[in-house]
Amino acid sequence: MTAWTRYRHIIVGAVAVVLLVTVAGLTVHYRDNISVVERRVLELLAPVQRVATETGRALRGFWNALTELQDLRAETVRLRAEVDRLRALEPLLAEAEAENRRLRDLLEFEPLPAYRQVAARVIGRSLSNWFSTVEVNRGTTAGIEVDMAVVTHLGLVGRVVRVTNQTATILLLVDPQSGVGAEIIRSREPGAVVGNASFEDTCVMRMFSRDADVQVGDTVLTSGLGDVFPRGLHIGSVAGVARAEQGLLVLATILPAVDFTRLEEVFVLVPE
Amino acid sequence: MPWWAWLALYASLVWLQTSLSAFFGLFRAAPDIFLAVTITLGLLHGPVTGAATGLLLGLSGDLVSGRLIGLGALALAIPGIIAGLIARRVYRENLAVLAGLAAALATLSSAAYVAGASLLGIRLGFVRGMLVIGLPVALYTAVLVPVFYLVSQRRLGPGARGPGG
Repeated sequence: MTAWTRYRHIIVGAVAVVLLVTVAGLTVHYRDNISVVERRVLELLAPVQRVATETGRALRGFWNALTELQDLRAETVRLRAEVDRLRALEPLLAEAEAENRRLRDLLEFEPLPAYRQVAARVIGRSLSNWFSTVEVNRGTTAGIEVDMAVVTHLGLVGRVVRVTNQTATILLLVDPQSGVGAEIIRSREPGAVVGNASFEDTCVMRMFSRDADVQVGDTVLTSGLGDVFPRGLHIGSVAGVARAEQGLLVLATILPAVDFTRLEEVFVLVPE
Repeated sequence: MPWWAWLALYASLVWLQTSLSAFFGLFRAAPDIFLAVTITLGLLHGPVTGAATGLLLGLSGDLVSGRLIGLGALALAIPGIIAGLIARRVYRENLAVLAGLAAALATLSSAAYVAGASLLGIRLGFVRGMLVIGLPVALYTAVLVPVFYLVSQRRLGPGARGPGG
């Protein structure tokens, strides 16, 4: 019996381990260009994921309909009252908008670049439990590119990290590798909102100043620093404030405005 | 089985994994169907099948997620190999033994993934990760593996008693 015959499983196993660890080391972060193999796998799995997600949604919808029937009547009454209240605000909003436009003209204020909103449907989540990404059904053919911001009507969702012709991968705000320039709207205090490595659906805002003016309940928006996220997108609200590393670092826990467990439709902001 | 049947089986697994993650959420983890299938096949057919299944399923999951490609494959291949190696030494007809073994292997898989990610520079928080993701996945796997094992045995017949019978 030769050494190869005797130890072939161990040799093949060792080579496989070295190869896999090397490839893993080379793909720690998202790359600008994805390989042909990844592109093919993503495109092949997209229809399967789409059908699977729709199935899951239908099951959840059916279950929710069964459990929530009783609450619907009270909800309808509450929503009607809310609609009446918002209708009453309409004239005030139109007036404020007109005033805003006049003041901008007076100041010759340069508006932010305009964005086209490309609607996309979530067709799948990451197959791994360890990271927070979703797949959507729009890709390069709809004008989507890497590093475009993604939002819902509630606020910021994340950014595009990979695209194929028909799909795009969105890195969610809560992923440990996510990072966004942000500011507290009340005090204009700047910071960086990063994903929470403790697997909660919250983020952490690292304040740039150790005397940062930040309080529970403060609203957090994107600051527009960097090229990815436009200024003024709603990130969430401050749920807690803590000091770390002998009080040198102020960390605020941010409760995102978007519920990432129930993402169905998103808008990709494509610069015009 | 012909190649198209394997392909259909794989598509079904992806379908199941994606549907379940949309529907289930114990803490924030979804059941890991790939892991349960790998352990089941390792128990039924031995370490080589367990390793190959883990590598293939793990690699396809890694290619979809796009990060740390290969680490997920390793984290699945390890329990696949161990399941195959110890299959002969445990009383697999006892469902409680199967469930306990599956939970232990799932915990090992999660630990391998977090440790590997940390070594490669992505800090995932070991203790909290094991509590929030590792524990629920272990519970799900403890339920799924005995079910898959029984179904596979019935489907494949008495010949599918695994390495060494």
